[in-house]
Amino acid sequence: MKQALASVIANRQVAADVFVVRLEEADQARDVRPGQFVHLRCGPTYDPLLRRPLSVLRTGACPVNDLPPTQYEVLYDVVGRGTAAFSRLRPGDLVDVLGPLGRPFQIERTTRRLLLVGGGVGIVPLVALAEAAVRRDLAVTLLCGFRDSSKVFPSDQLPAEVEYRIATDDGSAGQHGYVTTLVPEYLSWSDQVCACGPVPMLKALGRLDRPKSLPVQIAMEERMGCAMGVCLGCVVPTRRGPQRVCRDGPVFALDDMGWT
Amino acid sequence: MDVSNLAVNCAPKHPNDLWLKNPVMTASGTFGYGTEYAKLVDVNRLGAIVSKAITLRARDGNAQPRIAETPSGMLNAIGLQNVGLNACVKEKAPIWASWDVPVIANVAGFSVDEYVRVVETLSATDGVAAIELNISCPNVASEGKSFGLTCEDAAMVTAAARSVCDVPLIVKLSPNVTDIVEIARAVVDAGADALSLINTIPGMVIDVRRRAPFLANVTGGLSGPAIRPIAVRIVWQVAQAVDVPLIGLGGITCADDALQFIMAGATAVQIGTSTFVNPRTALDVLEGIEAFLDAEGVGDVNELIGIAAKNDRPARER
Repeated sequence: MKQALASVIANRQVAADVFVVRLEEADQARDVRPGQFVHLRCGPTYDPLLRRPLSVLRTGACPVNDLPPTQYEVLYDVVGRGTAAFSRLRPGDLVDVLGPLGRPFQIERTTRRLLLVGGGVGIVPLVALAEAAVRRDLAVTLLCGFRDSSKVFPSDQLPAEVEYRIATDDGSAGQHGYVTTLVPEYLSWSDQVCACGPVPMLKALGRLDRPKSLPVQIAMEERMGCAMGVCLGCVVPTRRGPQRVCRDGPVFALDDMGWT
Repeated sequence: MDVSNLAVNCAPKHPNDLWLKNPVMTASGTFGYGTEYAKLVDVNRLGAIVSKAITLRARDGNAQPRIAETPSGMLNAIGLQNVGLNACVKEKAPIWASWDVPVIANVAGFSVDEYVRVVETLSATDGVAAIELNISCPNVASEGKSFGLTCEDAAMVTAAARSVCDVPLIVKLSPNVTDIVEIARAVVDAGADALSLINTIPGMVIDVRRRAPFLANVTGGLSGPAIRPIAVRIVWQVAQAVDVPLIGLGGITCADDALQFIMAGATAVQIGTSTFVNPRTALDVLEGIEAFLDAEGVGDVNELIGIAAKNDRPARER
């Protein structure tokens, strides 16, 4: 983990208002693990004030993709002034990046068939995890829900080995409805589940009937201040007491969240 | 020229004094218990660290959302989440005792008795150099009205803390009052060795899509550069009225911001929200003050404390 100026290599649009920025910072590219995030300053001024936490989409340190090992990519949806500033980044610009931060996903040693469940930009850490899993020759299925066809993460951005199925809220692409309607048929197939998305999606996932032995890890999205564990802005209640998404998470065991 | 003197005494009336090797501290709630930023910041270079607010019992804090970004600022309603007095004494204070940098324990409470119990224990704990009293908390005995709102309540809790506190006692004032100068006088008369100015300013954001308050707690405390001019004005006003050291805070991002507080009358400053944006802010401020003193030929930072009062016409007219 470090605070560094990363240089922008590319900043390309992949869906409606959704961009992927490629950054060069060798230590961060080497150290980041799937599920971890980086905390990007929006610009040199104090307005917008806070950094924005962005999950890492892929790193060149994982040889499954064609990125140089010193580069990594983050994805963002333009939703406000901070992310709008990111969309104006050009190759050669420098960005103040803190990271990598947070606890990553852990693939169990016995896992052979990994089920990934995403909602919206919650797909981001799952792409990084899918690449790491493909590298370990695991079978990977990625199910992801989006608002509509314009927001769908393109399949050509994923390793060919990954089975990718999508759902949209309005039925304009893939299955009509929530991603959780796709999940049940895979629950007996998979031996580990990792998920990231809005809390209602994660709660719906928790309510599905699943084998007791099937471990489910989730990555939480939360508004953050410092991302260093001090401001306590991102704290969520869990069965282990209040936990900081930035430092104790973002990856938690689904069963620790106390949702029913 | 020789290196300028940066050392300041934040409690000259107290037998222990509170000498800091420089006037730059971190503000309560923005630097945790001092350990979290250790990878990014050499904490021993700081003048002092002020801990997260400690209460008698551990607290879980408020529901989400707890923070909201605002123009050049942020609102927070964390709800005083902290490990509680016992865990602080057992787990945090031993680490503080091993550091060169003095740690000032920030104390919060919901009754005078709670303040007294926490202050009494912490002031006798190795590793605690001073106490900073957060009197912006709701007083359960007074229908939840904050202790910091009236001279009587502020003086009462200060005097009670003073009577059990063996280390320097700093009282942090809320700006959310009609006349902060009156409160400052009352708190100093009740035994405060120094004042921290200012705590956050109550504020609110509405989520127009949900047509509802944005924060789960409805209101929160505004911090960041947005409040800096208010904080500088309050330091200026209080500096004319009391004779104890003032510690200025509110939206400091750089050395010039910090120097505004010092020239308004602050002996030291605290860096708060800006640490979230740039973890190195406190060290940047320190280095910037050193560079300013060097460039301006000022041999001692103490010469600048309150200097603007001696030049109280706008610079343009001179």
